[in-house]
Amino acid sequence: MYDSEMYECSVISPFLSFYGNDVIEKEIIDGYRHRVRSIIVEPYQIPMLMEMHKKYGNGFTRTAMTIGYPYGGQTTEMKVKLMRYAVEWGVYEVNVGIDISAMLSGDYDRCYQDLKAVVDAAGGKCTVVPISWVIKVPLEMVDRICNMYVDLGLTAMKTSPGLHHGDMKVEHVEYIYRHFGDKLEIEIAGRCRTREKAELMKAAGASVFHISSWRRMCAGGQDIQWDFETKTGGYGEYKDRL
Amino acid sequence: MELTEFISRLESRILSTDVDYPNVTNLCYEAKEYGIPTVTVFPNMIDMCRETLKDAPVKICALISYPHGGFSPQQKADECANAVLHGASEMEVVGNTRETKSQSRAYLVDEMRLVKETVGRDVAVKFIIEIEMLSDEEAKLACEAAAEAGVDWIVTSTGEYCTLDENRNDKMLVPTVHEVGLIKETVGNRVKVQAEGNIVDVETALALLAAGADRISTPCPVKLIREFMEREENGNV
Repeated sequence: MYDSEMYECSVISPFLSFYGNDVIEKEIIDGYRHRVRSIIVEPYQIPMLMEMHKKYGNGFTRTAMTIGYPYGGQTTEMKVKLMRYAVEWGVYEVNVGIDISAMLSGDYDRCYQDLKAVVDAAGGKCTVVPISWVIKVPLEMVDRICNMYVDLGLTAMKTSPGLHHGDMKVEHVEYIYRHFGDKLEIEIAGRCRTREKAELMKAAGASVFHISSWRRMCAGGQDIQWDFETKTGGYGEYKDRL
Repeated sequence: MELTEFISRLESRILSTDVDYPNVTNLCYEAKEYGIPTVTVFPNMIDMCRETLKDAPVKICALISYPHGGFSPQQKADECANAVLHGASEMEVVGNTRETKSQSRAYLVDEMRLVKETVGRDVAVKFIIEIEMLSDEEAKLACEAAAEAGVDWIVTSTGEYCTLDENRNDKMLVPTVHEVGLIKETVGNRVKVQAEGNIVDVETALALLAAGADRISTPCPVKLIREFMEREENGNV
C-alpha cells in the first residue's frame, strides 16, 4: 500500500484517558489532514467532533462514536439512548460492543435482541459496526455472531476491541473473509502494530484498520505514548510490543 | 486485623472477558458464602446478580461509563439512574480523566455532583480517577474535586490497563502504596478510598489497606481470603 492508502483505511480514536484536550484536538485535525477513514470518539466528544467536522471535513473522513465499548456491558436501554444521540448529531457510524456475557454463555438470542434494538434505533441513519471478540472465541462462535450480523442487515464488523485483549492473526482475517467477505467489511482491531502485518491482513481481505499508533504505521511518524512507569506522555518513539 | 474485618473491606469484581453467566453467578455465590459486602458488575448483569443474590446482604455495584469515562455528565447520570432502576445500590463511575489532565476542576466537580444528586443519598457514588494516568498534582486535583462534589468514594483505577514486564509480556497494573497514600493524604476522612486494579494476593491487599485504602476491589476475593487465613494460621497477621 502507499502511505496515503494506509491513511485512508485507518481509524483513529483520540479518546484515551491520558490525552489532554490539546492532544485530542491535534489528533482530530491531523486525522482530517491525512484523510484517515474515520475518527472515532466517546459520546461526550461528539459535539466537539461534529464542530470540527464542519471546519476540517474533507469529504472522505467519517465521524464515529463508541457505544458499549468494549464488553457491551451497558443495558440495552442505555445503548439505544446513545444510538439515538448519535443519530441526532448526524454521526456517520457507531462501533457497538455486543453483549459479550450473553455471547460467551451461548445466549445468542439475548445477544441478537440487544444488538437489534441498537440497529433499530439507528433506523438506517447511522452505520452500525459491531465489536466482535474474534481473538477470544472459537471459530464456531465467530460464525454464529457473523451470521447474526448478516441477519440484522449489517455490512461491517470489527474484529476486536483492541486494548490488551490479544493479537489478531492473518488467519482470522482469512477465515472471516472466506465465509463472510461478500457480506461484511472487515475492520481490524487487536494489536495490528506493523505495516507488514496490516499489508498481509489487507491482502487477506481486511478493509479497515483501527490502530493506536497510526502515524507510525501510515508514514513512520511518532504517536502519543504513555509511560506507566514514569507517568509521562508525549509524542515519541514507539515503545510497546509489536 | 481480624478475618471478618478483612472480608468487610473487600469488593468482588468481574470485568474482563470472564463475564459469562456462570462466572457472574459464581461471583454472587462467593459473596454470599464468604460475606463479601459488594459485587461489581457491568449494568447488563445487574438483573442476573439481583436474581442470584435475592435477599442476601450483598450490594450490587454498577460500573458506569467504563472504561474511558467518555460520557457527558448527563449521560453518566442517566446510566446511573438506569442502574438504580435495575437494582444497583452503588455506582462506580469512571471520571473524565481527559478533563483532569486538562486541569478542568469545575468540570469534574459538576460531573460528580450531578451524578450524586441524581442517585440520591441512599446510593453510594464512587468515582474512578485513573491514577495510573495522572501525575501527583493531577491526582490531587481529581481528589479535591471529588471531596468538593461530595462523592462517597474515590477509586484508584479501572483495572483495565497493562504495561510490559521484563519479558515484554502484558502485566496488569496494580495501584501502588504511594498512589493510595497520596489519595488518602489529600482527602483525609472526607472521602473513602478504594484500591482497584490487579490486586491478586493478600500481601498487596494488606499493604494498600495499611497505606490508607478503605476497601480493596479484586477479581479474586476468595483467594485473598484463603491467603489471609493461611497467614493467620502461620501467625503472620
